[in-house]
Amino acid sequence: MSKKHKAKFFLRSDAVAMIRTLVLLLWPITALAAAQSLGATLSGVTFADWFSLLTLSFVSGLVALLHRVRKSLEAAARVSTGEVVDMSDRQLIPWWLFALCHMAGAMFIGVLAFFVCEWLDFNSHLEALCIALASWSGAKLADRWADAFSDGLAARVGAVFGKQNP
Amino acid sequence: MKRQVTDRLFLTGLSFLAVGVAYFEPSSLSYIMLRIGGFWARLCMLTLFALSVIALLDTVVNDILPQRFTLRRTLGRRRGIWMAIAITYGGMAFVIVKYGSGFWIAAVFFWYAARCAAIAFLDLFYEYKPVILDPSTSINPTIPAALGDE
Repeated sequence: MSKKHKAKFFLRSDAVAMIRTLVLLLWPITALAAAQSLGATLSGVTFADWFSLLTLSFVSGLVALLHRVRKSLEAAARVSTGEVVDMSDRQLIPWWLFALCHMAGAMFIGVLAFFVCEWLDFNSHLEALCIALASWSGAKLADRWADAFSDGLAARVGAVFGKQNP
Repeated sequence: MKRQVTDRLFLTGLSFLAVGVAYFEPSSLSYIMLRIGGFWARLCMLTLFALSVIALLDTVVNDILPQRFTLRRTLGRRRGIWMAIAITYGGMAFVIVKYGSGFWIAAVFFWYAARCAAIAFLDLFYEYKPVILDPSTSINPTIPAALGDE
């Protein structure tokens, strides 16, 4: 095995395994530290706050989802007329997984934005604006990741069957 | 394109009322929020007002007036406008909860937000209904074609 191949093999197996082990070992400590530092903020957050935060994030995430669904439908309409479309516009995964991905991304980034705004002691209206923008971008980010993942998967499947990714 | 016209008129009216209450009803929660919130609160209300004006113009010109009157700019952005109104309502509800006021008042605003988002999604559904129901169908979803006789 050449040096280059050895390096590649190491990167793919040992290093990844090492990083995974480290992350797993550090996870409880990270969670404890986060709980300690966020404890004060979390204690002041009521159920109503959580509900409103998640609902606002959900509505903002819906904007990105709506845009993506429109692109998918447009692509589907063009495919039916025989036009060539950008593969990234086509929906390659089941719709429920697609929506779940978007909403999870939106809510996660929305919660992060909420904590950052609380930490910076923002005005409530500005905080709402930040959460809305962050959730929208979170959903877009989830969309990009999902695209990259599906492209990678398509490339691997294509490689197995000896075809190139379109 | 005449979809959900009454719903859209009702919701734009509701938005104008929400802005009116916030500015001219001193005993209301929105009025107090506007006073406490300062610049960002006023920006939120003005955004809601501006979006409602655009949505009303879109509904009246594109759906109620004869077909020779069209507002193409708003026609292509209808869903975006309604989602922006939904986010504004969502933001108002979030702020109400943050000020520690009634959860149920916030829930009313969330309900409005849900209805506005539903209008945007239903608009998309109606536009692509043939493709959704039968993927082999071919449609031209561009705006001039959707306007019909133009």
